[in-house]
Amino acid sequence: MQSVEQDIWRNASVNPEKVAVKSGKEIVTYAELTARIVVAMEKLQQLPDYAPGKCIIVGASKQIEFVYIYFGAHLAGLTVAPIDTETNPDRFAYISNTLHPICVIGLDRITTETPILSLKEFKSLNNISGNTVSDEIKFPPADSIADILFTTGTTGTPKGVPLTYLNEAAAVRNINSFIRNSTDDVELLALPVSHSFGLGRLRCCLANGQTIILLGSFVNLKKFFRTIEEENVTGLTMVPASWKFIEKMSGEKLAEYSPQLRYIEMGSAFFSAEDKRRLAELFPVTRVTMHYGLTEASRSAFMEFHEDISHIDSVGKASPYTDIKIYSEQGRPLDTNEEGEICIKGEHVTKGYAYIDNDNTFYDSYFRTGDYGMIDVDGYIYLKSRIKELINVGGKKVSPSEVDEQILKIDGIEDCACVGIPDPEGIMGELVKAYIVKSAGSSLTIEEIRKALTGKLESYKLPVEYEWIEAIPKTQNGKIQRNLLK
Amino acid sequence: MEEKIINTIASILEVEPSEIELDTAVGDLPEWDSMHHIQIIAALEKAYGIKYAAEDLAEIEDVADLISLTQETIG
Repeated sequence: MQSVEQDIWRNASVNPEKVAVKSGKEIVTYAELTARIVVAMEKLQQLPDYAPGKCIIVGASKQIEFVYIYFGAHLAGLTVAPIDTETNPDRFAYISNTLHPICVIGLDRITTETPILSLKEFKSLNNISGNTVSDEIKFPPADSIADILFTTGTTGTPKGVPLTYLNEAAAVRNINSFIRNSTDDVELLALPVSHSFGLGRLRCCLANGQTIILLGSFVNLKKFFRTIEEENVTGLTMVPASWKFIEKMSGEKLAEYSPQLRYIEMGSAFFSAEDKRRLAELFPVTRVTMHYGLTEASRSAFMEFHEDISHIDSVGKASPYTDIKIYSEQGRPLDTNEEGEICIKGEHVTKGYAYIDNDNTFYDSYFRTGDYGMIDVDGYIYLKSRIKELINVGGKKVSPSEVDEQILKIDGIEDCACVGIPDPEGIMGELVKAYIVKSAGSSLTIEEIRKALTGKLESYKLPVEYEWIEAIPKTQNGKIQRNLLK
Repeated sequence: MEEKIINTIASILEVEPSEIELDTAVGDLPEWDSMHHIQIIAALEKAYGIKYAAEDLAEIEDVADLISLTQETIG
């Protein structure tokens, strides 16, 4: 199996003039893309502490320069840690202290002792035109680490997930086999490009030799619809919150484009059976797919809303080239219809977390997801519950303890516990609510708490509701019983 | 009305009103994401006691569009 980078080079040789990426006014062919990736690689190789195997942290939402830097870093043998541009200072400090990056790119608001480069410094790459494809490239070995992604751990401490070139190439193969996108497809990506879902789409499209348009956000729907129309977009990617937003802000307008849309990929958060049926109806000729997956085991199950309408409550079946088993709490494989932990095996699955021991990461060679469920006789996987207490805000995972920790730093607070509540607007899925125990004699107000949290956490992690409470329910061992607060 | 709408947008996005121009497009400022956009629409609907039609909301490109849509919706 070839790496995504090798696929891009192959596509550039076969079809150099084909448009690879569009972003705003920038239109980049495959030949230009490879030329710019090479220049980005050379620029990164000149960093003071550069050596293959070192790491860089990169953030971006829709900037095309991210694409050059991301693949250029790979060709330079660097491991990339893509992070949210909104990452809060504590989380950034943790990631940075763990990785010791040689450079931080695209996070201009962060203060750090590590050298910082702005994406603007890579803007001149857009002037490089390339008609020939350099064939002197040394591609990194398949088993070396391409990326390290940080997930939200239940304790609030991020966990580093290393992914090799092989992992990423295997994920691309699995996803493209299911979605059946062709080289003629034009995909509109309105999710941030440095997020794992968006980044996955970037790899899938470019490895496939098709065109991807970076929009960065759904917020300007007029622009979104105009792009679909003018660029004759045939593929879309959404999280459930994106669909809810589109629906609220434009009704069924997206369905007007249904004849031209060949595929839609959804994922990252719960989507109700009712919503799935509705999308199947609105897009009768589109392949409307949804994945179940984790950073550690990207898109491990898939469903298509028309084909799988009779099992619409499930998360689909194991993705192509993927094996899923259910294990008991004792680590014993279970039979069909028996409930236990969902565990995944495949070439796309991480070899284990970085910097921590992996004693509890696998059962046999199957990755433990922490999700509970069962597989029926037809191979459909049903999710029952998650062991983790994470709050899912529009597809972004929030650890309640991370929010608790910031609130507890405020003077006048005795104790607190955050939980997920349904978004009353029905858009984001869940939002954060904080239950707070005030210290004796404190005159603290909710407004003061809100103010104190500003800038300490990403905005989606900030509680939208607060409630004063006498005491936080806890077990005898002192563990917060969040389920009692819901 | 123009000033009131601009002030509403600025306060929700937590930016200075001077950063919001009539031709500022929805999503131009990094703070102007989907979540904040929903809050802006909800705040204006509440302030003017109106309900925008979804098909009209889909036509908003910038602040000027939002102001004229508000005027039209009030009637």
